[in-house]
Amino acid sequence: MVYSVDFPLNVIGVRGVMARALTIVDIIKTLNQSAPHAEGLLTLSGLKGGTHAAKYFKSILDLNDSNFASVLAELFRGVGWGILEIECDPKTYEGKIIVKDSFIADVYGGSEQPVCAYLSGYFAGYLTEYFGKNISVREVSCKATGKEVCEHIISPAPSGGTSQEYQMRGVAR
Amino acid sequence: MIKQPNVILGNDDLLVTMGKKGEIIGFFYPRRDHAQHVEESVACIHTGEKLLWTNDNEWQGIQNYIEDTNIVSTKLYHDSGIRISILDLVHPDVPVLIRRFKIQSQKKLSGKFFYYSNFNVGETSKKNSGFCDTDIHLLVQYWQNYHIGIYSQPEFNEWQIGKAMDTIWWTNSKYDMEDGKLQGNKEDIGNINNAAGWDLELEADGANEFVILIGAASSRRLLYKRMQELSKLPLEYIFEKTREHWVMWLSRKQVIKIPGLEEYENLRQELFNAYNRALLMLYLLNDREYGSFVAAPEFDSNFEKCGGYGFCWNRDAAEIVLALKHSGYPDYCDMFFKWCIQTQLSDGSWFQRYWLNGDIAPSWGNFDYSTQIDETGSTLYAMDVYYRILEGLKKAEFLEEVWVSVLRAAEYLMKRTKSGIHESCMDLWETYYGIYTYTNASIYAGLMGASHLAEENEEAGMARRWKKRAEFVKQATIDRFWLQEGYFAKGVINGKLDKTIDASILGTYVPFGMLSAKDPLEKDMIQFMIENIQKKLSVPINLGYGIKRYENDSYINGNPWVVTTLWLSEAMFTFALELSYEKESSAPTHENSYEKEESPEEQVKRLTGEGIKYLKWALAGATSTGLLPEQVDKSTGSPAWAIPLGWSGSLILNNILLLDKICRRKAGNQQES
Repeated sequence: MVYSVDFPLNVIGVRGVMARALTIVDIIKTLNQSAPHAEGLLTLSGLKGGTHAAKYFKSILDLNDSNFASVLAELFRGVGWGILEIECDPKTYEGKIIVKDSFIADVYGGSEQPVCAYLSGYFAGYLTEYFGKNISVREVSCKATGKEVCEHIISPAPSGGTSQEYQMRGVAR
Repeated sequence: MIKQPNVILGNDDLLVTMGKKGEIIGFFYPRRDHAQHVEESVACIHTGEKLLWTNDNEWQGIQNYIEDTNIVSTKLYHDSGIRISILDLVHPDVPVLIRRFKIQSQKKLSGKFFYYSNFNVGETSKKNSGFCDTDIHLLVQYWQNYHIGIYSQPEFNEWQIGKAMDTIWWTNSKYDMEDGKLQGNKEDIGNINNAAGWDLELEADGANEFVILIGAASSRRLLYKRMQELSKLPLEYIFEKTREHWVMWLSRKQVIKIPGLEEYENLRQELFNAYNRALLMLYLLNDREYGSFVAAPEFDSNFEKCGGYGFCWNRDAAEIVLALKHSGYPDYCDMFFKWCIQTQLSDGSWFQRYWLNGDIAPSWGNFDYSTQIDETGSTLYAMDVYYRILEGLKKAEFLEEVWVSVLRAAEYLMKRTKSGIHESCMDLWETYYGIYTYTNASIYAGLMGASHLAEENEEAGMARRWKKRAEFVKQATIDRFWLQEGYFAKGVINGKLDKTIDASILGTYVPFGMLSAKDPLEKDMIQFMIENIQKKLSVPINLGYGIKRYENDSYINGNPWVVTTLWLSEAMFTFALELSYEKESSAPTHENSYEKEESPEEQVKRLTGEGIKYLKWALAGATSTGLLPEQVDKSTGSPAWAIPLGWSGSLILNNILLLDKICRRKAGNQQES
């Protein structure tokens, strides 16, 4: 059955909707199966959401080094996207985010590749907006591939140059 | 996502389509149909606080052509007091788009001017390669032998080549601009995008100018050369040279006067403008090397909502070259018919549609039952019309050149019309399989044309045979499809007579002349047909009525079409003109009730007046730049779907030339009396 909520639903300052996790995962799956550069596309989509979230929190509260991670975790729990454990050093911009019960990985089904690029992008957008510095977030382990939890690695984005970019991907050149 | 242009410009090798705010939608080089190298190409301003994309909704825009040219002016206004004036032109001799941006601000502004592009060079996002030559400040992206470059004056002082759609999002040039500075990555591969940046320092009410050259070439060396040579020339010189090119080309046109339209405010000037615009537009749809035309610049290359338009259909092109011939440009006929000879299929017919170089295009008409026989009829008909205007040696040479093609095409039509009406095939709207009034009329005209050409070629036997069949087709079409209600049925679909009224039945009169106003009975048929189409296919919008294709049309919401509306007005003008000749040559002896109520003079006046209303309706549905679309949105009155459509352009030419004749005739008569 459907639980009633206030209409229109508001999520971090703007109109929100409720949907089955599968509804969103079906979109992600279709993109992964049919669209070229689906991973990039999902990353860019997530990036926008994360950027908005950080902007919103900065506008309503004093977002600082002691609470930026807990606010994000609270948001994820609140909207049902997953349970976050965030370790991130605001000085080095390095760290990791563990996502337990990621709504994507949970319902995606088995996959040989990590499937939570949207969330990586979301984290990247949030952290980039908060730190004011480009942040790279990569999912290195995903529940959809049979792991216990999803793990996203945080690091500062390399500043220009294709060689660094290829190093990022671990491509030997 | 499908985006329709508001304006087009180009030269022989380059066709550029743009949106209302000067954003580039299509960049076709070296042919009009291939390759389309641009996904997105647009300017933006970083105010110091945020990025303003010039194609965003927060800008108001005014766009038009510089009179009698394919040079475009776009003026953009932003609520913050920033004003951008864009002048776009393509050099007449080299495939380079020159874009001058003049930026003004009411308030002091300290920011950046960025030009962002997502090129898909070679019409692919795969395996592209891009670099920034920082020695000469040239951004280049290439794939195989296609090279697209961006050069500027003053030189850009920031740049970025990045990944357009990737997890390493921070290299993406689109995102890189957001913080107001570019990272300066010099090269990358794959699905990439690029941005160039300049400092933008404006005092209150101050202005700054940037000239951006976007060029194409078949090699890196040629691209460098082109950009460097062109950058040595003052913009004013290039502007004048380009303007002169278009004005000179227009000076060859058949001069029109259209006297006596005083009762219609501004209409005469509007028609002059529309006439010139149609000619300038058709130049840009034509492939100068092959003689073929795209139906419209492609805007749905993935065939998401239709079958695409960036190909050459014989049906459309035959109409276009004849209209151009009537307008003073017969050379297009010559080139097109040469192309037809090359593209004719082994069975004598022509394929549904072709790439401009003559290769067969993606098609849903690969079989005898799904081909469109009318395209073969139209081509033969057009060949004969062209032949009739030629004189002397040229006439003989043309006949020699096309004769074998005519023979093969006529025999194809013979083969497919043994019972008098054609065998099942696809209709001209490319939707139904069956037997059609329109297709039969085109076959009639094709065989009559072939018969005339045979006669001229001293092939009396063939001439007689083809004429006999043409007459058989005509009689069978009238017998089988003319309805008591006073119009032709659309045709036979699924073995049943389909009584749907379809505007294409006008083809029996215009252009194919299967019905003649000289025959009293056929004259009545034409009148009834016109009246019924008006009655049943009119759609009210834009303070007038447009004509939709047929009852219950559902393609793109069943909008009224410019093509069908101008087809109807062309039929009205043709009819009015014939009546006015008839009026002079014979005393009125008609007996039908329609004419008892109306004298021939009144009839001519009424038909002309009604035709003008449709003509005005078509003009009201054009883009702000005067380009005629295929359709007009039935809810908003805005131009819809294919923009600009060559067929609409050819019909407006025909209409204006006919109206000119009517008006001149009337003015002459008045002077005489």
